[in-house]
Amino acid sequence: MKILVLIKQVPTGEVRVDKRTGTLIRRGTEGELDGESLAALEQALRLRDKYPDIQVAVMTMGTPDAKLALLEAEALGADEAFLLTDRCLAGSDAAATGYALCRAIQAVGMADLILMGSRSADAGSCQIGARVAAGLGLPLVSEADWVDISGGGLITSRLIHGRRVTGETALPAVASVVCGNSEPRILTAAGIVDACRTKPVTVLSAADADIDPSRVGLSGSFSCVVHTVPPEKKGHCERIEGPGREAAQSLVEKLQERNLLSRGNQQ
Amino acid sequence: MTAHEIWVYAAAPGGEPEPSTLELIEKALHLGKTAGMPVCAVLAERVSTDAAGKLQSYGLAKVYRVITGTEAELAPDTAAAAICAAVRIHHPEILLFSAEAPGRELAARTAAALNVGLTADCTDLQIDEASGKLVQIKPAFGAQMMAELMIPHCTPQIATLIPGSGAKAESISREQRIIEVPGGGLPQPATRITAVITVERTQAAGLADAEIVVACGRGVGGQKGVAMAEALANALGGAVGCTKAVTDAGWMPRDRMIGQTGTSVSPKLYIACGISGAVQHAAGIDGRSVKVAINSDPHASIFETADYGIVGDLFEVIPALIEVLDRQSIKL
Repeated sequence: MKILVLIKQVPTGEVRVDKRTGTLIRRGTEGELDGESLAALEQALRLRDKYPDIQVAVMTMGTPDAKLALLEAEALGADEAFLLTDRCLAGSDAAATGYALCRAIQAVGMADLILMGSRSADAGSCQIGARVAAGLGLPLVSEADWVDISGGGLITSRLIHGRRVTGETALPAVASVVCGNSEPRILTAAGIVDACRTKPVTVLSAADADIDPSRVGLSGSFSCVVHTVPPEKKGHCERIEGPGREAAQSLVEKLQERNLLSRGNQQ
Repeated sequence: MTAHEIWVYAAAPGGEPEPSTLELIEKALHLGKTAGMPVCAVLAERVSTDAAGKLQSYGLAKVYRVITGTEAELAPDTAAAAICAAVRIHHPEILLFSAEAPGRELAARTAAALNVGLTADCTDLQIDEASGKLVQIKPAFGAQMMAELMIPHCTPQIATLIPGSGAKAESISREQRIIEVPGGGLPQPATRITAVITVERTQAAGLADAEIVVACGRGVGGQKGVAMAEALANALGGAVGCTKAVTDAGWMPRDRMIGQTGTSVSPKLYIACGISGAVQHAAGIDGRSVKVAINSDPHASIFETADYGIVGDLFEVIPALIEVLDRQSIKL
């Protein structure tokens, strides 16, 4: 059985934006693995720990720099990795990204289970799971915080409005994952050495994945960024002076005036 | 042919419209006024209730109703197929969802099935005067900037709006126009639900939707500082979170981490304890939250983005806060 985890590198530190297109300049931007990507990978690795015949592959679409994210995933335990990278993919919106990922998944061979984070920390399009599931014609479970495989089916659990909902879905299937039950394992030196020495990272171009260039990139996207502006700056920070007790009393009064303290402390 | 209507997805479990739905309606009515478009609701109900009539009283032109036989939260694929069926018959220009369960997921499924554009997690929506198209405004790239997006060439233009700060529509009585969309032939849910358990909202589970969040930074110094922040959160009835530095140090588990690679929070009140103010952490906090910073370093950058700041030793200020709060709750 094969599990494919779609992961994403997100920028750390200050980002640069292409003034013309309003899209992020990803090349040369320092990055790290997205939190929910890590959670999805952790769920896959736990399944492999439990059922040793499972193979875990990871895939990302990005700049050549994103290879580092794949190596990190391999160092954590993934068996193989695929990097979809091509200049024509730059500026793709979520729909175009979903299309490109579907083509790449078909090019490397379908997996029984495809996992990904439900919402990336940078763009937060919240729809890659749905795009991939629709593109491949597979059932989708969204925002699961726990997955298992039993009797050839996918078992998922998720929290919705104070209810824990557990369900069973036939494989092959797609599931998007949220953090919660997925404290990721620690990266080890042995894992890094193992990844660099023995684990492959296969690079795919758009042509390798038979991607129609007119359906990706800025021109192949439904949505476009028309404008970026710095977020509104907060007004002046009101400093509350005085020794601890007095400052505390004064702060609580100010917060109460604005009705910000709920529960028993409201009035 | 597009109907030039703005639709909102109405969540009304048990027949009562959710507060977030009323907020979405209010925003849509405002957009409708600018664009000269009527505002309608699309409702996917398990069984027929009086939700459609109730919704209509909030100033909607029409309510499109599909009876699905399933609950939207438990069978989102069927609910999304119902919305798609209504869209394919009536062709709205704009389709809006609340950015929470189940709206966030239904928006994604609907956009993917119809193969149209979707912008998620908008903090504001406007109408572009020149084109009459929807402008979607959202924080991007870790809230380092606000992006304005448009979906120029396909309909419906789909967006989800983060609930929490907008005004809610008010009920005004009005003639009823409920349009039934046939629910026959909808796909059966792909996921068979095996258990639904009501859970206590633990502090960890409640972090994302807590109304008050107390967050620990490196300045809390260790487990003792974390315990103190937890006590403050308890006194406030809030949840505790932390920065990446705190989870990296092993003082708190990763599921409490707020920020770009952790949980996003949107409390009405956020209290930063011993946090210097890294961009990656700030990215996880809704810009509309009122922020309080407590830090011993008067030059910490967190003070630049805070509404209130106390410069002082956490181990004096936090216990004093707890004492003030306890005293007040006893008085009540």
